[in-house]
Amino acid sequence: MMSKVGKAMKKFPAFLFKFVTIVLFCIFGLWLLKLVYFPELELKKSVAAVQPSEKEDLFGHILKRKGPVPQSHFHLVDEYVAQPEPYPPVCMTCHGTYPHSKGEKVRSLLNAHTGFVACSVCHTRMDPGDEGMDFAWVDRKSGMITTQFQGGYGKYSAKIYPVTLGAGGSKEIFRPVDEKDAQKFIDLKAKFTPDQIAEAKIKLHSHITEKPVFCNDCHKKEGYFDFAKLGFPLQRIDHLNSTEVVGLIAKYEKFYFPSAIDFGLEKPLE
Amino acid sequence: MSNKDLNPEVSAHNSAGPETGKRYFIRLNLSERLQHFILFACFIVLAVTGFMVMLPEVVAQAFGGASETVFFYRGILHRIAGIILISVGMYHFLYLLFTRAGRRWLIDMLPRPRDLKDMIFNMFYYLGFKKEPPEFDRFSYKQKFEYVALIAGSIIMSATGLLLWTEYKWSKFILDIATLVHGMEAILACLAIMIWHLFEVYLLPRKSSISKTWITGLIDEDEMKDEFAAQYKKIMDDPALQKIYIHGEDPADQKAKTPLEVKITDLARIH
Amino acid sequence: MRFKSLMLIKPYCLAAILVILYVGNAFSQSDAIPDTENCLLCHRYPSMGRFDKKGIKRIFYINDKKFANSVHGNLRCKSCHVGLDEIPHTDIKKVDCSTKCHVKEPSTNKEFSHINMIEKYQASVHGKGNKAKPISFPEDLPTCKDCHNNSMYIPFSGMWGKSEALSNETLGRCFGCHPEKQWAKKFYSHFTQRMRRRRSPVEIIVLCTRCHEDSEKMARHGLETVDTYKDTFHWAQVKFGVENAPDCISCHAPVGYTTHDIRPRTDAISPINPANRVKTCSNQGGLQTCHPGATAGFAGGRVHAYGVKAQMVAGKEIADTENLDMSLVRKRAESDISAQEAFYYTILEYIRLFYKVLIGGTIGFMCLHQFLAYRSGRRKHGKTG
Repeated sequence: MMSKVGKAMKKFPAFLFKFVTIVLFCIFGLWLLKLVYFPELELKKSVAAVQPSEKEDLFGHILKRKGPVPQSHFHLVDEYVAQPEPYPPVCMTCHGTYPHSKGEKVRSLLNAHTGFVACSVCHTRMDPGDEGMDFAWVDRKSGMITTQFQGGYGKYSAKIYPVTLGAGGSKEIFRPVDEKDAQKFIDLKAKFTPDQIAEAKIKLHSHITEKPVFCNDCHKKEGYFDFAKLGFPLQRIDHLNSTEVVGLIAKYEKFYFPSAIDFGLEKPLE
Repeated sequence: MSNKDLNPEVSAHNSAGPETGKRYFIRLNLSERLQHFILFACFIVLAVTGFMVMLPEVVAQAFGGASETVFFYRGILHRIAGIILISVGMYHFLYLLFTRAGRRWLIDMLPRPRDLKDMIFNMFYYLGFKKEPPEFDRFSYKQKFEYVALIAGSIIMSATGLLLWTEYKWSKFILDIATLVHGMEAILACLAIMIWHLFEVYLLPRKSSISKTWITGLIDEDEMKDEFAAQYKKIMDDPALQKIYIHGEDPADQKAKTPLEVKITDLARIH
Repeated sequence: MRFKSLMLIKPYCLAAILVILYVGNAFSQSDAIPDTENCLLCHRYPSMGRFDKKGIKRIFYINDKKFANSVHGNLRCKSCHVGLDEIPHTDIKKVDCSTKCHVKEPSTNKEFSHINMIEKYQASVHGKGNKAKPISFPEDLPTCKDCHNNSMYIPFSGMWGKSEALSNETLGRCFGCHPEKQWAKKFYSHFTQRMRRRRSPVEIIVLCTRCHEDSEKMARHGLETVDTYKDTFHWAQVKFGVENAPDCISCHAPVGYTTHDIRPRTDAISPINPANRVKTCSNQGGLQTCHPGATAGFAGGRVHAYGVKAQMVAGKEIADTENLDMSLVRKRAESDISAQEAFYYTILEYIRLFYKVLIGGTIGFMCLHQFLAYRSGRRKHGKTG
């Protein structure tokens, strides 16, 4: 009995070697046959990925675009143009990385702010007297409230979020749109009727204020934000409220004032 | 556990009969074994370095920063192995013509009508229509087929390979043909070697698990009776042939040895 | 229709290009640009941008350090973005690379612009045409930005090293006479940048195949895609990242030509015109002497393997698909592919077919034979084989 097992054990390496070589030879042989009879096989996959599908439509071309930088972008960019977002960025899942598109004159500037303030900062207007609310930095990678942030000019390692203050000074990120509900909506969207979608959208956005916080709400002394409390150095605060910035805003105000979010039409004040 | 069990091959031989009384037949002499070994080594080098060109991009990129160096040595090695293979081929040609053993080889290798008959009968045997396999002479139809394919393949590969090496001298059309033929023939050769030859010597159920004939040049009497019955009978009937083909019959090599006792030093002795 | 593509490699290369875009090589770090126009007040924010009317993502972010070290680093924004006077920029004009950008071109002491290149380019096969010589679907043709970005200066490497050390040592010698260090760096970088090819062969292939792989776009202009390049040994070298491996421009713009002046085969001065082929293949005077002894017979043949056009002329039916009108290709094929070439193609196809049958037959027979041998061997010797 022992000798039989021992024999099998002794034979095992030889068997394994044989087995492995046979498998390798088989793979090699199949690859060779593929080279003869289906030289285009592996390419077809890649073509399917890049080339427009058989039925080319409006979206075929869009699907081809990949990566954060468009093909014909001229100036060199860096990793900050596609920074990781803290937490599931549910707003941006639907609204994209450049959510502002209506106010023709101001959209790029507003988009610039999305890099360091969360959507909820401006789109849920808080009562200045509310003691239970505050703002805090949320780390881009961990998604945790932090006081540590590096970088400058929109390249911070964290992003400003509104927070609710709990008992004992505990802070929790305030989310006007429930992340889970939003995700559910995205998943269910195809099953909804148009009316149901409309209803769901209104329900989802019920905490979004009609009139968002605008430039000169923050860029002034004792504005919406307490820059110092958020940890901005004095020099920087002075700059944010300087005539350079405020003057620029004044220029904008001349021809643009944000409309309430009413599905569409901006109302230029001129 | 007995001593026998340590090595399944030893035990396989032992069970076949007493070791010392056993006769061994010479299949390949030293020159032939060397030719085979060089061919074998060159073939592997050529296949590996050659098919590297056809690797998918992703694999080629996987070499990373070293890929350029890898590609450079690939080309060099392919050419070196090619030259060696061509040289062995030419040596083999001379060997066939100018040595006694070579001429015997050539004569035994020549295709005969009998091979066709053997093949058909052998297939019948495989299918179970016949009880006994046909009796093969020194080279069976399988080996003759393979040998002819090898020679034809080598000539085609060498010719197209040399054309591609001196590409600037030829018209593009000739090169296109050469490229195509070189690639296709390579695929055919690799597949044939794997399915026909490696299978025959490596996979086919037989007494010893891996044929060692390519190293020792010998096969034992049982296998000889089994696989080359016609040649076995011929040898047993003819003392002159016995001198040539039976290991140890040659006065220069008095002590009969089992294949397993043959050491590297023995390889230098021509049977 | 042959569906072949070089695309598989693209994800890798695109990643590589993106890395270059992101990281670049901050050689001879110039300080950030003196932002006299105060554009960075807004444009230094990475998330600044929007989608334009065509749906194209426009990134309005400038990395000042990278810009300062780029080939355009000594220009002010308004040198190219002419007339931006209003804030917000309602008066934006498309950048025109032929604009005179207030830089003196030292050899003539005249104001510099890219007009020389643009004129050459307009005359080339990629030119958009003009009223006298209109071209159908001009929007398909690449503009400056489709191939160029604002590339950064890269330290010269080669011969003596791949590090910045070579640049540092050389620049040290410059500073002796040219005390204005920033100027000397720029001047040095300007030359060394041009002592090497900006892009690796793989990058070139990726760049060109962005368009030349698009069968729809090519069919509009009566062209076939370049996927048969992949059947060549040239590609095998590129695939393995061999330096100076033969990519598109090695043959279509060899020594003495510029990439901006790529011309069709029919053009007498084109390097791929049959009359100029021997010179092109031998590439005498280039860094890489490719086929020094090239004969006319060697150079006269088709380099890319035979593709759709050859199939058409050889009588193979190529069907139009829903979005692919091949009529123009068919028409061009008749003039492009000679009867001789069609014959060559047919012969090659027959050889291919011969081998397909031979391999299939031989291997099929062998497999069957060995299977039977194995079965009977097992019967005879048991399962211990």
